[in-house]
Amino acid sequence: MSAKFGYVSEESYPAIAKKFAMNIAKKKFIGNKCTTCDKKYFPPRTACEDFHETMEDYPVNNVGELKAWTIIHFAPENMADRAPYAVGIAELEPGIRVLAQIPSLMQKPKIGMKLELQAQQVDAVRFTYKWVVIKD
Amino acid sequence: MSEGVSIVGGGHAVFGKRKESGLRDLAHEAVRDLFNTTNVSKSDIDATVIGVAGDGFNGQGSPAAVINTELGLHGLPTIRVESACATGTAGIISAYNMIKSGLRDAVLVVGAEKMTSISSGEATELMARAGDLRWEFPFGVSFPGYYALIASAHMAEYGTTREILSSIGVKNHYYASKNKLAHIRKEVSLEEAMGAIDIASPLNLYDCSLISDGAAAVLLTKDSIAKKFTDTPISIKGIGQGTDTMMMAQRESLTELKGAQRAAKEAYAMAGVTAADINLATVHDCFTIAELIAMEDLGFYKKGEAGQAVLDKQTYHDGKIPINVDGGLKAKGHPLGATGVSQAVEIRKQLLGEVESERQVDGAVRGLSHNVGQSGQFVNVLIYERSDL
Repeated sequence: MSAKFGYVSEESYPAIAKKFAMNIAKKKFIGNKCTTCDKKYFPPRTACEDFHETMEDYPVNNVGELKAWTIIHFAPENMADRAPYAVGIAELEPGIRVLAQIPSLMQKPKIGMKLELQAQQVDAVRFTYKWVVIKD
Repeated sequence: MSEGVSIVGGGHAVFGKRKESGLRDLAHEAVRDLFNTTNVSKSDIDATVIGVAGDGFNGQGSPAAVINTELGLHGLPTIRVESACATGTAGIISAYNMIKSGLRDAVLVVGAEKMTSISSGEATELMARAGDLRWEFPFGVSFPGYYALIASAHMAEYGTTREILSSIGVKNHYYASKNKLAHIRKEVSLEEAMGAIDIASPLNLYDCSLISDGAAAVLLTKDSIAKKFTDTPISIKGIGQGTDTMMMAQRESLTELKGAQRAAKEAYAMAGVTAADINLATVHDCFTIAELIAMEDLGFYKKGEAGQAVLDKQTYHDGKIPINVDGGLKAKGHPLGATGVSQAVEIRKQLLGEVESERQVDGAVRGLSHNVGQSGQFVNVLIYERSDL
């Protein structure tokens, strides 16, 4: 099986993005970690930014706190039929912040609100993740 | 130490939706203005640096070559530079380096962009591609969207209001109405600005800069020959640069541009001045929130205090620190590759007392320009000074 990441994309699919999307298809959110310096990446990188040799999988916790938001009303041409949509950056753990859409939310989001990262299947081959508001 | 570098002339095409003019025509118009207003001729030029940010707007590959030829300068050395919306100042810095190293004596910098040949939806997509193509573009974040994310965080942290952001738009439209080179010469009221349609909330239409066609040019020379071309060279006193992560989600802070803070620190140190010594600034207001955080990143105001200064009109031409009294990217327009060069042309004219009287900053001797690529992935800060006084 092959999988693509996100609602739309242009980059030809390098192995790391395919693997990431396939993990999301299995409802797993897996970044990676440098075995030398412990630096963590989500989404994953092919190699550590400090040029150490080996990386290992690093599954992230999927509950975060909203740090920034926007609702896109006038979208890029290739996303126009989906607008308006909300996008948020939330922090899963110190140093790991994730940008994703918040599809259920059209009211003004509130900084600090709790969100859960969930897998979303866009079409037959396309997978992404979305933020879902956690009710108090 | 080798001698310094000065700007001896500037030229500017009228910004706008220039239906009848292509990229090369706009560049020619800007350079023609330079030749018409300065004692410079083609034979004085040793090389050109040409800044064009995008290839997709008009389909012309290798735009530097077409511009160099249109200027009749084919045969001379040229290079193209690209640093997204900071392309123009990247060009000025490149020319500075060429002269400072002793390689060239006089270098023409041209920044140009033809953006309105495609629809605004297509232009929005093209600019969204300047976000991280692998990990953030797939979520449909537009360029206004990135700055809207910053605005939401700044609002939550410092109580920045809709009124503060709209007041920046109102000011910039007011000054564009006085600037004969501006794209939109129309004032807007605070009420109109606050009630405009959402583009990427919390940002609305009057928070966003324009998609414009335009070009600007400056001639840089080594100081020892500058007086041959003008009695009033403008000296490049400080240059600072900074960058940040490609992905917005990976930024250490979402309420400032770290690259701008670093660039400002470097530029002030090189010029031997502080923020308090700057008489006016052109800052990269691609969005109103960008002007607000620039006021803080450049050290004109402490974090969280720029908003009140905006409401108090301290950034008008007769205020404490005049900012974007040419209309800014917001209303003068933002032809990407031209913008940083346009900032230099504006500061030069301000320092020479040559702009329209309603927006002239009296007695200005030192100006700063802040030019940002994308959402802070490139930042260039330059400090210009009159050297004849």
